[in-house]
Amino acid sequence: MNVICARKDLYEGVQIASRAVSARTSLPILGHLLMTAEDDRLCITATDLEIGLECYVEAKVVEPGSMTAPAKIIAELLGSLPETDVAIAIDNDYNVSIKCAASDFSLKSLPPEEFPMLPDVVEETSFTVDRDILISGVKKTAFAVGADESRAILTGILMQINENGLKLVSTDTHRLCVLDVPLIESHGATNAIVPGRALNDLARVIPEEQGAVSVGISASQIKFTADDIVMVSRLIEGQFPNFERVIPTEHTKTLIIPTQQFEQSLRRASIVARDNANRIIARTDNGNLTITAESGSVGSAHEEIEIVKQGEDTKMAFSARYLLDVLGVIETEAIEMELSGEVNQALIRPQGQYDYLYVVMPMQVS
Amino acid sequence: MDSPRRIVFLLDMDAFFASVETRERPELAGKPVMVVGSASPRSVVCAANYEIRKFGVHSAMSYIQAIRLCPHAEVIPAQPALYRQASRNVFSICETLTDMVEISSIDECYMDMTHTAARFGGAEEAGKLVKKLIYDREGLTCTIGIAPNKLLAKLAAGLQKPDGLSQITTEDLPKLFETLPLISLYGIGAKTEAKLRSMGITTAASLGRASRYRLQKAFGVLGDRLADMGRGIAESPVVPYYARPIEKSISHETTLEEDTSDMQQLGRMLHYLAEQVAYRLRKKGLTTATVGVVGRYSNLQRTTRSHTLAERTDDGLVLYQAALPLLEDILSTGSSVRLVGISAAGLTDEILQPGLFNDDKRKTLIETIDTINEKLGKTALKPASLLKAHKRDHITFKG
Repeated sequence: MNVICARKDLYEGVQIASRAVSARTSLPILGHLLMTAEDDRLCITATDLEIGLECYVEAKVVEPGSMTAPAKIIAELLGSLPETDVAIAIDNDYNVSIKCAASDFSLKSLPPEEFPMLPDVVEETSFTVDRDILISGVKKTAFAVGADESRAILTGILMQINENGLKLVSTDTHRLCVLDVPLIESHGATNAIVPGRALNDLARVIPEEQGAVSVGISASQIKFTADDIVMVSRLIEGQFPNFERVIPTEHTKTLIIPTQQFEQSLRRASIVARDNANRIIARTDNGNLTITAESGSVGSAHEEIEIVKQGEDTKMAFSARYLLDVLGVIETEAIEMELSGEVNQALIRPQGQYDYLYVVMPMQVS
Repeated sequence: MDSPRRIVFLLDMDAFFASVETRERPELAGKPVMVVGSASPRSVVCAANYEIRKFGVHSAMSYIQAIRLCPHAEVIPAQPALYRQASRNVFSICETLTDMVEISSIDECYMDMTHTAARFGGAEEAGKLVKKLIYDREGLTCTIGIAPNKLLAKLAAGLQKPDGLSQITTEDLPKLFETLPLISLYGIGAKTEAKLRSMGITTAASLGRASRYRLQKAFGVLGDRLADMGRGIAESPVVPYYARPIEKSISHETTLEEDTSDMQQLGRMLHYLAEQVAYRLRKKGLTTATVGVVGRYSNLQRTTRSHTLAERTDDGLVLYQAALPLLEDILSTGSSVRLVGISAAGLTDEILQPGLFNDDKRKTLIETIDTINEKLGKTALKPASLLKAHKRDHITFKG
């Protein structure tokens, strides 16, 4: 194999693919990138056996073929080379030659045959979605996935695809995000649990350009394709919790709270609350929302916000972190908070928008 | 002797439950009132106001006995939520005068006023202020004892009740202790008093004069404390709830009557121990993050395994389920064990974030079982799997 690429393109491609390189691996080959040159492009592939990323880069292919390269070292090297063309070639002993301006490196590598093949995704369900909408959807749901690997199901985001579109659902059992995502087109219906990490990585590597992402789902894999980038991820097996059961269907009080002020007040109160399980008390008094926090060793906090309220006054306790998480992704000027009692879950949504909802369990008031 | 600068208050609410009831129902004022657990003949008196005490009725007396002594008594079934709220309000008032408030029961707390009394015009003025604030805001009276330490503050409060305020200084001690019966010292019960009496010690002063060595010999560790008490010394600090250290771990273990590798028998034992540990966690308002199992093989070699839980818990079943694979691992060597135990570590008293998918029924069930077991004995209600552990295995528990 022998190719010539622009340093910038190659470096970007290597960086994108490297997201799938596992930091700790017992298999040396998984610390390498697979590079395959054909038809005027170079395909850079990496996998940690859970997700796989392919990134295509424009190249002048002098001699087609494939090789591997140690991911960390080649990324570091490309990052420090001057802005000009880079020539990459491989010899029969798997020594990678990298030439750029006056630099000439030879890196040791492994036979490309050792590199695991990315699984072929036999699409049973497929859909196409606007890129920005998908990225924003991931941001609005990925923060609520669970971190506990022993409950793998909760580390994933549920994708529910049917004729109505796509529903993204995430929960760590303390809070729940549900987002309806409009699709450009779709075929088939399924429920798939996609690792939160895969979707987070996807949102980071898809270029911020207008366009679509096409998604194909098989029984055990999902494949995302956006222009020059392809991501394949395994699906998490198992039964996602029956989330619909915990979405409140009735409420007795509605608070309309200015998003930014609420977020700023909570951020300040949490300086005190973080010492006490992040617990803040929210109390309404007609048109006022008072947020207080107390900690035996730190002190106390008191914040007031003007709000619009329907229903009786209320007093509830919440984890400030769980409220801040959702306020960070809501784009409307105000949020609606629907409540029905001190110990019942609260529902939060962007004011006037019914495609996104966040359900959070309150904490004990006293 | 304690530093004379320490100023400790003991605040004791007067006939607390009965006073709260009288406040809520002013028509009870001046009448003999007793608060009972329930209106059943088997109930006991939870609180007696000062009017009914004249008839000889006191708390912990059976309802039948009390009503015989005072047939025209106003009998009120207890309203715990009401008293808890009043108690919280009272303690919050105390906390406005000092942050060093140690709540010792629903109607009693210690306040360390060493650094704040001067702001309110000295110890006695501060005491009057606390009493006034509680009366003005809660409509309740209390008795305050002021002294250089907790022992003497408690003693001072007992000198003048109800609605009292009395102070004991170190100068008052010799005269006061000369005739003070031992039983008046908090921490000396009937048994200890009888034993001291048999040693010729009958008053607080004679306890103070007794040799420390003699007391240590007769009472062990307690002897040292008794010697201090006789001299009016008690160094234990007032510890507010937030400064109270949390235990590092809670564990239960038991030595088996015979060494065994029978997983079923050991599993039941583990379940029993897990329930005991979980109960203690709940009573202390703690949750655990790490479950450990200990085993001692027949050759006396001790071995432990531990597991970090996905979510903190105070549920015995969850502890048991997490501990079972650890026990299996310990037994995988094929050796028998002579001792098995379970521990809960990584403890915290932080309020937990409740889960959306949690089973509230289980929480209610555990609370109900605890309530019943507290009344009827600690294993009156237990998981069915444990029935055999008691009847067939005849294993003795300790710890």
